Amino acid sequence: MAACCAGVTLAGAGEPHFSSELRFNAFGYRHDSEREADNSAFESDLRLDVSGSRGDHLRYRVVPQVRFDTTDRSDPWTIEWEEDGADRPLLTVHEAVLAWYGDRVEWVVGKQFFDWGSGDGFKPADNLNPYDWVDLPIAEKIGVSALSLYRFGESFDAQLVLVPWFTPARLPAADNRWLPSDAPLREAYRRAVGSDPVVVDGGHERPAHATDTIQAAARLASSTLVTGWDLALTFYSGHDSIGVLRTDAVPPDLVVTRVHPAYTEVGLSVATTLGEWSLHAEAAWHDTDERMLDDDYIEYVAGLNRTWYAPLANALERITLSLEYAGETVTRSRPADSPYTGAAFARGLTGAVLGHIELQWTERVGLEIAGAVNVEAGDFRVKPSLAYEPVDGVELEAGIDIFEGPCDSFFGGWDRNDRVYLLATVRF
Amino acid sequence: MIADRYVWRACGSGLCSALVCLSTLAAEPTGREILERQKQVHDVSRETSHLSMRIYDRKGRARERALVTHVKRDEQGDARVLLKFLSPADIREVGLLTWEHGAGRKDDQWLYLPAARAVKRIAGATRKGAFMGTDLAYEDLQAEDLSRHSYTLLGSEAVDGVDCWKVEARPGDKADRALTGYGHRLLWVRKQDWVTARIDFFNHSRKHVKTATFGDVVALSGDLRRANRVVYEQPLRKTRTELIVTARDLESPISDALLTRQGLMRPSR
Repeated sequence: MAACCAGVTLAGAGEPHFSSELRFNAFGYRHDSEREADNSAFESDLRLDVSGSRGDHLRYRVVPQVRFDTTDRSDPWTIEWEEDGADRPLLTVHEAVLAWYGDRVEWVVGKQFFDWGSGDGFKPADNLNPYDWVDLPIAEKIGVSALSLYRFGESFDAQLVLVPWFTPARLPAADNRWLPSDAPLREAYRRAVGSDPVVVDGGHERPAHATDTIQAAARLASSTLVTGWDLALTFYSGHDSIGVLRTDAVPPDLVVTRVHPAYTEVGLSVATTLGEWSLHAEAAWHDTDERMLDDDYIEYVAGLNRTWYAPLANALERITLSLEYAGETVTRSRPADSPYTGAAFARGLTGAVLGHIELQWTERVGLEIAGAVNVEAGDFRVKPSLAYEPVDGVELEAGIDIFEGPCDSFFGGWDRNDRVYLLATVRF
Repeated sequence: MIADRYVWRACGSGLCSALVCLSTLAAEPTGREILERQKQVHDVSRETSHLSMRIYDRKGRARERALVTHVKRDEQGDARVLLKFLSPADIREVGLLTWEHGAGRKDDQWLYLPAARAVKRIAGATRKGAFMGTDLAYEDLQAEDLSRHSYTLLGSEAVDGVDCWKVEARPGDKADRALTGYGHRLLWVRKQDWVTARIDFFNHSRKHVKTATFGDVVALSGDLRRANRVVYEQPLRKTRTELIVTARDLESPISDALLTRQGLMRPSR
């Protein structure tokens, strides 16, 4: 049998591939903020993506990134590989991996991203990468230096990941309007001491860079064990990337220190299809090592997706719908006299409905509405947006971020951060 | 899988190579025998193809795509198919993995979206939908499943001056019908080499919705043929998608690990 036919050679294999993505994002806020002087902001970032291969098995990918903004969220003097600083670095390597892909085994080493779990808007078992919460509505994952070993099997695939250095989630600084209010801490102090505190930043206690703080994770996954089902069992041992807050009352000061409890987590995720629907569910049991620091709890999510093609008598190209319910059950609470409290960015979905609907008129024009509501507290977030692609490689998106709810609720804490935005993305 | 389609729908042999075939097909074959024969002649155990795709909208504006497909078939003939976009940048590495199964079992299908770094299992309805803005439905990317269709020979008809068998394909039963957006299809299979020359697609309301034409047929080894150019047209939408095979490899091994959910996330070479 001949190897190939007309134009036979698989040209291009092994040659470096270059691409770039340039983003401009402009925001206009509806309300003033005590933390930021301006009600408008602008940010931009550029990523260069270089990838290629050597031989049949070796691949590489490097994605350097430069970013800039008008709100001091990027430090113009910082160049980082490990993104563990308080500010976004001016220059970093967003991703850099060297991979060896064999017939049964693959090794990937370098700064990388993982996506474990079957959820859409919420993935309780996906915790290898911390998030950048500096701008809450566009929270983005931070790459971690890791070694990943994947073994392909007939019934199960197994993956082992080691992350030698701890990278904390990046939280808003004191001059960032996305930093949640410290009113609950002040109120607790006032009740206990009888006067208003002076809140003092006690800093950030990170796990030491030592062998006993290596984060390890493993996953067993199968798409063949049960016909038509994807199953995955995950295990994680490491430190909470968001952390908790320790409050030490030294009247009149209230010293607040961020610490990262060690924990182990076991997760289970499933996905299947039923007729024209895709179904998924995921749960993870979070077991904190030191009882005083944090609760033990199970987070879970279940959801469904469906796409309708040429609906409404061909008026639209397609409609895509995603609906999920996310919640948590505390299996053991931290003691009432614990000086630790949760950070505002953690465990916000305690009984929430998450939804996403996308109406696509053509491949170039679409309307999307995404949102989440905590059913009991009544706080919610909704984001309608309109996307347009005028020419290949250029995307424009305009939208509104709306947060509402009681001020002590998860989304309600940001109800003065409603904003409009315009995002332009150019790929070349 | 697009390339793999050529294996069955746009390929064929010039002469029967086995006596059994000669005796079977000495009389006018049935519709099923034509499709079975086509599959028998052009089935290969593995195939990698590079393709360029040009998508024309109703105003005639074109968008370019490049993609690669890997197809590997097991001993039962069921295929695992990986399709990945190589360009442009906004959809580079977007991938579709299909595990085909025999009669009585739905195929498994997953979509990889690199921006979200997520592999999602996709459902039956999705298979009827347009694939990534092209004139191909997801189900057009799957191979002809003989176990899920009935085939009727309607006669002979020439396509571009080449004598063809004209075969009607219909979903086998209610369950099969629910899995496809097509109420029936008309296939023209060239008598000289068992290559499919053309397919007309009709929706469940019997409306003609799409035509695929296969050209630039090339001889590989023995009876093996492949069409290097395929055009999908939707007359009602006035859109068109052209596919050109730029390279093909039938010999290099394809790792089983590549044709898995994890393999879907492997970067292209």
